[in-house]
Amino acid sequence: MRARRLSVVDEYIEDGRAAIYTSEGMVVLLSGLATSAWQVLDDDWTPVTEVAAALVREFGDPGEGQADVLTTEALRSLADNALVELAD
Amino acid sequence: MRLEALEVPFEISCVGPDAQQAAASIEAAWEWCLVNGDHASTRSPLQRITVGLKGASEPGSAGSAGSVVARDIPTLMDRLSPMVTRLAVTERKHDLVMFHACAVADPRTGAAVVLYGPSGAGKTTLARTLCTDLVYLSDETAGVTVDLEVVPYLKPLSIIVEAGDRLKEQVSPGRIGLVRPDGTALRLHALVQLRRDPDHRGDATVEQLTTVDALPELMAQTSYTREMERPLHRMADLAHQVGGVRRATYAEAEQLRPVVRAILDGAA
Repeated sequence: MRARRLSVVDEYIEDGRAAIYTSEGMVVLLSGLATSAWQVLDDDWTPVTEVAAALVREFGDPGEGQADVLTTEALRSLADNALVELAD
Repeated sequence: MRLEALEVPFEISCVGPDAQQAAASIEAAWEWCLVNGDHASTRSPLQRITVGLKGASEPGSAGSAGSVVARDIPTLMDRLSPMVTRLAVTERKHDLVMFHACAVADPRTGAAVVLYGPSGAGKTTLARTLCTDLVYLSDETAGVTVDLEVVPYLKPLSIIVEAGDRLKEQVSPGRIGLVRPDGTALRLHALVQLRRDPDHRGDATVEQLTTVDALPELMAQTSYTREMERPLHRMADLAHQVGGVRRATYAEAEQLRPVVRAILDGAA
């Protein structure tokens, strides 16, 4: 799976957490993990494994393959809020 | 008649049957917003609203920003207020930050507290409760300039006067004994997010929110944020200038009196 950012109106990050003003007019609060994933992404496609590696560097390895699982969950939550696009 | 809302000048013309009675009702309810023609603001183009009762000809709206038609005066009054607010807010969307809020000020210092929240958060009740000794600035929309000056909107309050009334009555703040601004400069001192919880017991609780946590509701209760450049940063900057955002949880308006007093005493 890979991910890329969708266009947003504005983003504000303080103390590792982001508030994002979506193009749909909502302001969404992100968790620390989702904020970091968001910061890894840009307008180009990024593989989930690359995002997961960045999160492991920042938060440590949860072990037992959980890094990819938690990263995928974070990206899906971003997608649910119209902040990123996912593709296989 | 001429009135001002958020410093936007309005001309209200009453036409048709009972026009004089309608005009008298509007003048009574909007007395704190009335201006005489010589002193009307020239900040914005004049907004013309035509109002009338159904029965004779419909009020014409040619050249008007809007028209209000109703079957009776209470309904007409009920519809006029949101129209004035909508037009005024739209007219000031580029130069004011406008909160969906009750705003009050210390009569000695002009320090203002903006208590924002959605419909049902108790803003009108708060204004009625707090502004018997604090200055009434609005029960619905508080405008703030880039220099943190608060622009009052001294609109009538929507109040159920008698149990069972179908419509809330539009009541002049003067009629219910609220304190009127006396010309003292009004400056934003605090932002308070209202959270009304009917089951809350004891004193109101006040929490300091992080800016990130405050932003969703702050943005939701601010008009035309989409028109701002970098809206989240603009609102975060405004919050930082007044020491961040507090959230007050309460059940009854009276519980917020000591909270607001303490905030204002900090401004003295």
